[in-house]
Amino acid sequence: MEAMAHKNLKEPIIITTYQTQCLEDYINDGGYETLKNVLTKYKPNEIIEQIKASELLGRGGAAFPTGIKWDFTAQIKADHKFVVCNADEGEPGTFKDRWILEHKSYSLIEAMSLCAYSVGGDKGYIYIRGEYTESINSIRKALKEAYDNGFLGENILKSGFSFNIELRRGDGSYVCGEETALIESIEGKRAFPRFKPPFPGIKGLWGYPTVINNVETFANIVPIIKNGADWFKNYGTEHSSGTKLYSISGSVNKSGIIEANLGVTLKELLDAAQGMKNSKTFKCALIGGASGGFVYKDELDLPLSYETLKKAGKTLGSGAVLFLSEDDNEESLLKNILTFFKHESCGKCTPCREGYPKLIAMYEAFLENKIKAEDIMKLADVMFKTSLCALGQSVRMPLETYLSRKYKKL
Amino acid sequence: MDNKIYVKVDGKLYRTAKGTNLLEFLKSVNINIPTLCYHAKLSKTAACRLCLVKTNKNNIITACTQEITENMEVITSDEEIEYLRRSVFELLVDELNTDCDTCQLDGLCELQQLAKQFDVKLHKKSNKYKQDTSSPVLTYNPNKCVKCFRCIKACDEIEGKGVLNFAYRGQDMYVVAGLESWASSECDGCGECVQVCPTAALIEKNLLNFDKVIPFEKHVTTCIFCGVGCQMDVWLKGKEILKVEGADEIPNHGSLCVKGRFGIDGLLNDDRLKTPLIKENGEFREASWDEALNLIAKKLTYIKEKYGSDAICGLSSAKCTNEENYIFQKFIRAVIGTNNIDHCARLCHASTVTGLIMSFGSGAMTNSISELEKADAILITGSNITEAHPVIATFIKKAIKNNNETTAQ
Repeated sequence: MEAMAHKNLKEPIIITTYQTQCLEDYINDGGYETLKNVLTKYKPNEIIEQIKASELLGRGGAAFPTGIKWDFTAQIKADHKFVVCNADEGEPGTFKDRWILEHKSYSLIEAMSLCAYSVGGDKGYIYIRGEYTESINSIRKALKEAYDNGFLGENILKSGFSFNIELRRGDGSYVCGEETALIESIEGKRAFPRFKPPFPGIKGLWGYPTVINNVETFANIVPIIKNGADWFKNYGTEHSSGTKLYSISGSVNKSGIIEANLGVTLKELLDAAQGMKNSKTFKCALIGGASGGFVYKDELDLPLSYETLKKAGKTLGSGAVLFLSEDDNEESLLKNILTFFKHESCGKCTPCREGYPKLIAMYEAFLENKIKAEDIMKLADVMFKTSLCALGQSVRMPLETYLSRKYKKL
Repeated sequence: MDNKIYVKVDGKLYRTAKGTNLLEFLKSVNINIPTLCYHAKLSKTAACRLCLVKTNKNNIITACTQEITENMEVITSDEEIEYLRRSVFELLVDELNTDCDTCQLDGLCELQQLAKQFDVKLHKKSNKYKQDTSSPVLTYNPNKCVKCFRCIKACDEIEGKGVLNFAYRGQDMYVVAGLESWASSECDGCGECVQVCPTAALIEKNLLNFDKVIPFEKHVTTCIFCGVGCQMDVWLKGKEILKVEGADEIPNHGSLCVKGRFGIDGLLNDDRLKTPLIKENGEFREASWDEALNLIAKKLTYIKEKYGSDAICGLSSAKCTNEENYIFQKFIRAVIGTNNIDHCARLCHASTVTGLIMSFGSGAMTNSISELEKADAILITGSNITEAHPVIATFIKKAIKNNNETTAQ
């Protein structure tokens, strides 16, 4: 899988020229210096203030401000606090976390330690989807090296601060990427999502305050603390600071991961992917994975940032961009998405469990012109408004962005 | 300190404690909110998605998971809420075989009551899933299961057994005991799951001998299988027992064990002793109570006159109630005239009575059964509580679960 920085991005944050998986090189490149610095010179709240000032938004899909999330947990007094890295990358078309896990594992561990120091955490978990064998191996290696060299464990770098990280493997369920289901899974239970509130930041793993962040979010932490919030805010747009790892796939010449400023346009990403395969014309793109929305030709210049897509009734989600050409068919892609969600529905709540099978039946009837698009949207709307977690809520967007386009009445 | 706050429900102002559960509060002021997965004795689940309300804090939420906070305004019914609740309910019943006509619990089912409320017609459909009839005491029919989690949570949270969970996922999901079936699981048949089931998905096997439960009579009585004294509701149809439920009273608070709930087959069994028997020439014959009691009185009087009162002794049983034991010792002392009276617990209990008197000042319990739940340490000697007093065992299991510090030995 190829990963590269967009040509408009002079100095990438994550896909740096240094992509080593060797601790010695990482240290020579200034690795763990940030942690050392922070442990000796900074107070926990100073780090949180810096993350807050950077306006870093969670990169998992929900785009919640990371600094505010850490602050919630930091302010609670508890016997234990946990730091969890959500590496259960399961959103279809998304593969950027995998690259980070395999190429930036040291930075990830350093970031989790920084987070633990800031919020008062004493134990961390990295929850990796079971299919990511390479990622598991690289994290395992990085953890062992961190322990062997005093970057993890008791009394880290003789600072008096102790923090341990454990690796946990997922076992092939999409819903485990949902933070509360992931927490249940770490607790050894079946991964049913919990209701929120209480949010994990207040009451998470085993009932203790838990910061849970996406891999890419953590990958931004060391650079931010090293270079400062203002430096970070030079990247991206006014309301979406930083860069984003876009997972490019579909009918393009060069699929892979592209790091670009938030706010990069779809057209710029298409150019970076060397255009459509076999010189076909661009039809549309599905942005944000299976729970994302379709973006069409007239929106090629739409800046891909959290606020612009939200304004357009879409979502950047995980940053997955699936390009479709004139030969590709959104109808069958949508069917695929519905089948995927049905297969992955955990079954806990009524609207998701019973809704998806019904939605598929309705969609088939719709393709045979037996029912109207409005009928499908009615059910999708009920699921959106009543489902327990995002798995049942998110289908409305791909359906709506496609159907409203094709059947203007909607 | 007064921690009461105001909450506005459908425009009307109420005062209640901060943090009160919204669904419980609405129920307490007689506002009827549909729900299936909520159960007062269990943790909240938010699975059925029926108790939808609107608040000024978040738009549409489930009332069962919402705590009342300051300045909260709640709308419990408007066009959208009613539409969403009904839509979710229709999704739920669509997949079920709601064959109420042939169902024993017709008229007692929570799903049926909700259907009436929503004005949704319930129909007989074909069974998609295989029933699990392997348990000797209960039957699970997934075709009637609303996946409310109540049985699973009751088994785990009330009973501390954790035998049940869901198998598979999505629409294929159903409740499974252990890894495969009730018979092969570690289920001990306490039936807590049956009692909390809102439909007829889990029912007592005995009920299958009847067409309909309604009409029935309900009587409260005390279980006689052990000394815990569980209160139970016995459901009767004529002389026959339909089923037994734990009464929500001290000491068992709704729970029963397999003996109390399902040990009912002896009552009308042909092998049961129904009249006194008198042995003549080595053979038993049936006799009336008057005849038998007269014979006993005659013989006791004869022994007392010929050999003196101390030639007689009485031995009573822990299976009898306190009242029965009291009367018996009174009879031996006052009528027979001897202190030769003993009780089966002498053998097993005397040492503990002495120990308890020395340590706590009383040879009997110094706390209520439900207080066991809050114990820091529990010392158990010479008892297999799980088998001998299963309902007490649930309180000890709760103590261990709720409080990591608790040790039981």
